[in-house]
Amino acid sequence: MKEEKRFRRIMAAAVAAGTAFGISGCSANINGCVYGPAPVPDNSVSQVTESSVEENTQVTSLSENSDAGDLSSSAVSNANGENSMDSTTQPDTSVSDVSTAGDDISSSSSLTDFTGSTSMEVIEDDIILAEQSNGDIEIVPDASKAQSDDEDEIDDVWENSGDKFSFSPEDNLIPCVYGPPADLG
Amino acid sequence: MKLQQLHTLYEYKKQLRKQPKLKFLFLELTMRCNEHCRHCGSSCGDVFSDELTAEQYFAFLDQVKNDFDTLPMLCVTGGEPLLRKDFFDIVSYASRSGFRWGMTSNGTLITAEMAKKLKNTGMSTISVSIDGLEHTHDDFRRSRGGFVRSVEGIKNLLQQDFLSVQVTTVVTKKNIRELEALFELMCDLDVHSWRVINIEPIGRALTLDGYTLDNDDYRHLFDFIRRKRQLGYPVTYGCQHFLGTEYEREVRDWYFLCNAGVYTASIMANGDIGACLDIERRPETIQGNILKDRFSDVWHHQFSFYRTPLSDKNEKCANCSSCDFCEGGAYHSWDYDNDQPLVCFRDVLF
Repeated sequence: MKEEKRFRRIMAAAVAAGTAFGISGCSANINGCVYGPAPVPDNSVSQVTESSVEENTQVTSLSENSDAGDLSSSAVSNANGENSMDSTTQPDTSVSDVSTAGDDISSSSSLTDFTGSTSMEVIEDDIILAEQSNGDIEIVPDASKAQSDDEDEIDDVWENSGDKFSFSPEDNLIPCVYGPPADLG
Repeated sequence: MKLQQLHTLYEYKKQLRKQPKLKFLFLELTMRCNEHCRHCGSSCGDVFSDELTAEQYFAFLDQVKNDFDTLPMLCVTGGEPLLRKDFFDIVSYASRSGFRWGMTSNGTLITAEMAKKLKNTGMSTISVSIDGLEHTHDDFRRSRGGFVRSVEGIKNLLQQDFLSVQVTTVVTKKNIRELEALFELMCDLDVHSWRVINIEPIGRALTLDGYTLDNDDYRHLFDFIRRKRQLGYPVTYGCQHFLGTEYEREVRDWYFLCNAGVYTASIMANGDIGACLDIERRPETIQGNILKDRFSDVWHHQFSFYRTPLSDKNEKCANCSSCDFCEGGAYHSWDYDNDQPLVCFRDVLF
């Protein structure tokens, strides 16, 4: 079964348009949240005195921007990608969400291979939904954009989005601390 | 289109102040903390902390459940809430009473067993602080080994099926050049989201030299967040500050709207009732105390302090062309002695 990532490219079309992640899916997912049984109180909270990074960790590369110097070994990653996703509890980051977003804003058309993708679908002028050879679905910028790091070349989708991205002031709720709103009431 | 939506939101805010909706209720279980962050907004650490008893929390939660048709989400915080020996007594009671709850934690105490207990007790969301790569994080939080323990705690949390495991990073002069490396770490950890916020001049950070971002840093930070979001990564800015139309709804899901007193209330460690725990604690910002006041009475009949735009207190704000959208900014970043914003992005971002 294909591993899905939580912290991955999601809904690029919607995100680039400013509608971002989690708009429709978060509250829906919360409805599926079921509390576990009440635990037996255990007051044995204690300071962790020893902790080690798991064996299956590796040093990640630092960016050119990092001036971390001898800190390079501190960035660790999980090589096994062991934290699989339960799709029932995720924000609306699924491929189907992307497809929905794409349907809403484009006339899709298939393209030929590019940068290792097995198939692609244009879902916005500068955004492509590409299926990688390993089965992953990735949202990638258009090739011409992908070859450039110039931020200025990222289209202002807002300017082109018309009124497709609706706004509800009642839902304009930024959770202070806790990530996706857990209860929008 | 943004301007049109911001105007819509402005009209909504006026109505919201008349009919506030309690969505989030913060519980500051303790001021004690096993880390001693240089920037701590609450000046927590090895400090004496008034603390309500578990029984007082039970009575309070009963009251809230009785008085509100829709239960707010409980946001459990501190200090480090896991330092309370009766932590699970309190949150278990909350869960049994029907409250959803999330928590902020430094993550250092979250073993695999602890993560499982948090899951079994009904915790749905958690935010854990990572304030830089190892050396920077440990120095900033004055916690030797803290980075490794926090990362381990995050991994343990991700083994459980929580609604959201978020990492929060406070960006300062000391770690802003580590953002890309931290981004790689977030990718590898595969957290649900990464909240990246600038250091605010509150709490200990008020007297902290060499950490506050300059104007170029702010641009760098917001461009970083926007770029990652445009690529589809769940990176987000926090709730604070009006950012101007260039960045509003680009670096976070929604437009600026300070939740304090309209969506959010807080119970401080000593029982004082306020709006947001980051707001300076002084007589006019404290609205009551749950040991002597009924919380619902305070929420419904006090809080006028938070239901009047801050911009009304400051002529420059009142005359600003973005006043309707900013309204003086966030309540936690207001200089209450001089009635002016501590942070203003006008002429910086817009």
